[in-house]
Amino acid sequence: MIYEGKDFSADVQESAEVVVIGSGAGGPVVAKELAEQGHSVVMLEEGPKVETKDFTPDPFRAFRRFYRDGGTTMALGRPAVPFPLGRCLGGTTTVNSGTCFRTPDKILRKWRREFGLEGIEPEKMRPYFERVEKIIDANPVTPEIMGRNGEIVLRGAKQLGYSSGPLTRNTRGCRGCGVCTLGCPSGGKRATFLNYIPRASHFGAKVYCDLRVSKLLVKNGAAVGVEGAILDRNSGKPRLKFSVSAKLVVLAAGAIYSPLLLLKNKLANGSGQVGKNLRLHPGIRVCALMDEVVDGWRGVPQAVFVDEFADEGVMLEGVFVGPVLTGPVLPYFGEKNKELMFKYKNLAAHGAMIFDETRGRVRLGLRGRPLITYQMIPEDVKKGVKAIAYTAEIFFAAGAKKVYPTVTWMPEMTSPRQVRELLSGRVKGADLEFMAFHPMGTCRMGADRRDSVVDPYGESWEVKNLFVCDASIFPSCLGVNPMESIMAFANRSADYMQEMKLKG
Amino acid sequence: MPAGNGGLSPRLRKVLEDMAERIIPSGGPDYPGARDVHLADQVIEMIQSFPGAMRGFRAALMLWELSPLFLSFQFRTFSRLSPEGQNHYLESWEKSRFFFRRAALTGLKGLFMVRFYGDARVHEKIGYRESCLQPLEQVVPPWSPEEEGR
Repeated sequence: MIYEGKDFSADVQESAEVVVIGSGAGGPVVAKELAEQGHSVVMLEEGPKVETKDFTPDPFRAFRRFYRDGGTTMALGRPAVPFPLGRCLGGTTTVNSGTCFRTPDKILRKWRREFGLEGIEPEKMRPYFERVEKIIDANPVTPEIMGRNGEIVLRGAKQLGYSSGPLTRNTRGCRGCGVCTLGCPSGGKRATFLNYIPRASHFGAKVYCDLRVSKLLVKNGAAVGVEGAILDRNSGKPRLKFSVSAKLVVLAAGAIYSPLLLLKNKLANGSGQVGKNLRLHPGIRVCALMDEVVDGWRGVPQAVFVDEFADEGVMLEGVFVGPVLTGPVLPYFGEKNKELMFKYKNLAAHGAMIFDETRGRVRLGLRGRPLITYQMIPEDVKKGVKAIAYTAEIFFAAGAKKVYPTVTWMPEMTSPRQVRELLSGRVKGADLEFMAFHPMGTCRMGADRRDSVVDPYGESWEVKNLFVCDASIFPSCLGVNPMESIMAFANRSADYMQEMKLKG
Repeated sequence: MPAGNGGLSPRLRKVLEDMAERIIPSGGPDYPGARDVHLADQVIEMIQSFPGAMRGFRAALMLWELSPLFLSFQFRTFSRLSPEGQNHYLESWEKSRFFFRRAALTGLKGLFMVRFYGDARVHEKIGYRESCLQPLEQVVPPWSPEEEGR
């Protein structure tokens, strides 16, 4: 059963074996797995309930309704890095591009080597990935829905002999509508509100929307429940009180709000690591003017990858977005910008993310809001420059007339020679425009309680029965989109809860 | 769309209209600009949809109006600059060595473009038509218990 804030006219008190905070990639997996085992589960979501019919291609409306703070979340630094977060049923899975990757084997080995994490060897994680992929319908993008933007990138990469291919996404019957990040209007992208949450609900989990948790209740060193408020949907202000008593508390509010809740409650931070080690996978975006008509908005916006440069810490993955979001990131203003936008049909766009070593931080800011800082280190800036250069090179190989690299002192490129100039030039972080979509690392797991927040199964070292099941547990960046990794690790934590905490 | 002042003084209204016109200039029937789609009204309407945001918006506009006095020493406020002067002033933000000035200009572009490029009249001119590659005949439903047998 899914409840909304408007369903209540009096304070609510609930009791369950497990309370899950957050309905994005991690929470629903835990809710479904434990509810299926017969446990009583309550899942809480701060944002509104959504259904496929709610999605329209109006970016302004979508950002206001389905994103936190209208999509304006930002890490402060030079450069500042905006990273929009979903805030609705399904969390960011509702508004992401749907790209699925397993955690790379070399990352799993690195975590074992550097953080002493046992039991996460590739062969032990494989069944979790397989299970998740089956439930979310992970499929590669087919030529029918790829769109010309993706075809152009593949053509350029092939021309240069770069390793590339179609991405795998969580889809069933995707129609290539091109608006994944505004909420899928066809139901083809299988966000958690279309798979894990209905399953959890079928097995008896109760899901509450419009509910903000403010307090984690702890007794004798163990989590025993949560308190919060039911929000007024329009004003966002607390309307009624809400509490849940539970045996297990699962924090799955994402890598910004999970540590924030711990910091607010002054919990689980004996290691001093809560909120630290923030990684973002900062991304760049490059546009290209082609002779051919691209109509880039038709087809899967993030359809292909180029992993040729993964060893250099650069992964090329594209996103083509609508005109509202394209105009501001193109260079210039006035006539020159407008002239470009009036060639929108001929524009192609692709992006790349870097495997960041920078460590940002989430702190408790004014009025309980997060203060996020991220001062990019020079090594990561260099990766950003490479990412732009490689993407530009691919576009030129595919026949681009001009390339727009989003570098302050190089607003446009007219020949591949300028790619080399860019690579050999002196570029500062503030010269680039980054965006990010994958915050992680702020409640990292580890084998040593002195330098990690949670143990290898996601349980807090200090507060018994308090689990973290989202991207904040990852001890380093993944180098790939994190959704599937979050789900697989949440599934693993759920198995542990069932075996060690709830059985019998 | 009626061209009301949306709670702005005539002076701030002019600042807003001038900014819109510099960022997306009007010109020719095939290339609509800010004035052609009443962009200032659309931006006001958008700001008003955020409860309490209009007050801060008015303050920001006033700050922008006065900013040339202390950032470019032109001894004129923004609305009193010629169109060329306004363009030069915006260029000084675009090419500034200070990251936050450049970022602010990107934000300003976003403020106006979110409405301009969201306008159906502009979509028509740039050839943008929201459509799926494959026909969207029916929506794929959420998981249901019957599905397990598929």
